[in-house]
Amino acid sequence: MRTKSEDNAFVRLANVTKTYPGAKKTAVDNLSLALQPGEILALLGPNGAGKTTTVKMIAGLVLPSSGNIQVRGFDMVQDRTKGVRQLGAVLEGARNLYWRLSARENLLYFGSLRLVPRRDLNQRIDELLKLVDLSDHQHIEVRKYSRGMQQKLAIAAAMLHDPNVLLLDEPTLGLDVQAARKLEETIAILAREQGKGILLTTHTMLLAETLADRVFIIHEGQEVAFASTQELLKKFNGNREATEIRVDGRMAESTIDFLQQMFAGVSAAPNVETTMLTWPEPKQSRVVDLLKYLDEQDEIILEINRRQAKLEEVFISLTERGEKK
Amino acid sequence: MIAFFLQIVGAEAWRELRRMRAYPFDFLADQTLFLIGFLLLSGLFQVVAEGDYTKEAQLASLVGFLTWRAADGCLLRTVNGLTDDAQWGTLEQVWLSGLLPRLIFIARSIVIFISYVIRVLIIAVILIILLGLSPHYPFGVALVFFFTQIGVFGVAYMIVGFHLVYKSVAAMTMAFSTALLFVTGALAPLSEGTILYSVSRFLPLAAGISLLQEMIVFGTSFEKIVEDPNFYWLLATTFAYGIAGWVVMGWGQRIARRHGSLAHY
Repeated sequence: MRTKSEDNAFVRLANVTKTYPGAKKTAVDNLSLALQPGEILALLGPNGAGKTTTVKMIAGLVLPSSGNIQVRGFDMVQDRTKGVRQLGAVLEGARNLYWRLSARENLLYFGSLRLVPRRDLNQRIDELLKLVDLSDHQHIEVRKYSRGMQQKLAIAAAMLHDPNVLLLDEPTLGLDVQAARKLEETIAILAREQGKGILLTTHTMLLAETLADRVFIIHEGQEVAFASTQELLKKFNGNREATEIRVDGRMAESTIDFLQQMFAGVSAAPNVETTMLTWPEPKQSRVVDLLKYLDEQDEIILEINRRQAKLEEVFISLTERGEKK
Repeated sequence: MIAFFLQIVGAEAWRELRRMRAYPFDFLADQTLFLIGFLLLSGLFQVVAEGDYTKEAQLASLVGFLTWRAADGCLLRTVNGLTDDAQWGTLEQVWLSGLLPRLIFIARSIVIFISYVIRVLIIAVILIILLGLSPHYPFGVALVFFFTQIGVFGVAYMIVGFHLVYKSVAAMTMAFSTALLFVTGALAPLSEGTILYSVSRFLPLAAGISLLQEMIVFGTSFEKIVEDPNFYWLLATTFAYGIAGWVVMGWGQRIARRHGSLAHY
């Protein structure tokens, strides 16, 4: 039974919790979020944060312990088959495709399984192969494809029935820069031009920063932050700038360890001639303390730079401290 | 609805053909193995029977052997298909199709059944010619064969259901399948009154093999078979295994979704 939503959200999670049987920890704890039409929502979190569990619950592959998940108004527990028809998913760590079949054969098979009418299927496959730039390679067995080509084909397969929602679990994992860039372009086209709602999980902050409209940060199964990328950066940049201090010479590891104990959040990138220290959220007085400390240690400061924090730094800051929104 | 189901059966048939194309020697090796296997067993029986291994006995063994072979293929292919899909991650994509997964499994089963009927028929024709056997083909023999195999699919679905929850269960399939060859009277009739005979009555193939031997070796008509209590026992065991398979597979899916283990293997 399809229920009327208060808004047009493609996906809506309300107080969703998942505890795997026999597990001591809760994988996902009371999450609520909504994915709007044409929106790219990035689900960010460290390994084991609950990202894949969340995606699989939305896809109806994992049952939530409590809470409600709706995809275009269909309850994913009570009405899974109808809800699933509204979405396509490419899951991480899986082939998603039959490697012994060619690209076209895979699309024909999965298209039939998704009940795309036979008369429309060939045309749909042609469109999708063109979209993901694989028309020239459509008769080659998928096992001979590069990782990037396989990933693009998996997205095409997930799009066969023209779903409104696309779930992409680590879509650029293992791709080289060029392949990742092309995939990003495809994802952007699907959201911006075709109005698909796209939820993607990623470890690549740059991908989230450049592509996502909103970012949902999850840590140990709990929501840490949920805002637009710009809002998130603005919020943290309001009182937190990143300070970069370049010090002459390669700092000893014991010195760096001691420094990090005294000034939480400092990261150090030592190389042969200099050491770059980055501190995402210091107050000016604390920066002065750090500079004094470096001076006491006879470190020669070559350069000090204050700049806005990057999403990656915000992410590290939030997940390391487990802050709540 | 029927058109969509036929579309799924068509897609599965087409995928199976592509799979065979990718592994052409698997088919040839399989056929050769079972063809030679029966000839060796036949020779062994000839020696044991001290030359008194009649054509009727040989034909009865062939009927049992090929019925088992079809069952063995259907069982292994059904279970291995699922474990391969789980390993490759395609199982989750099948679950994401928006169809009832059990509907897809039925479509797959139809294709697997047809595929193994064809394989068995090829072996049958070759062996009948080679050994100079004279089988009967009474009306209804295909129906009895079909009922016999449904019970096997019930077992396959049960293993699939258990495998979704307890990941190592599929490893038992080959042992179970091989055991069926020896404990169902497929090669040689079991002595009535023994414990093994009583056990075999509750296994999916035993009643069907006995009826098929009656029909193909002795030409017993389907009308006579229908009067045989053994036929109703076949229907009962087929029904029981079919229902049990359906229920266990549904249970396995629910538990796997709760455990998040659909893609694990």
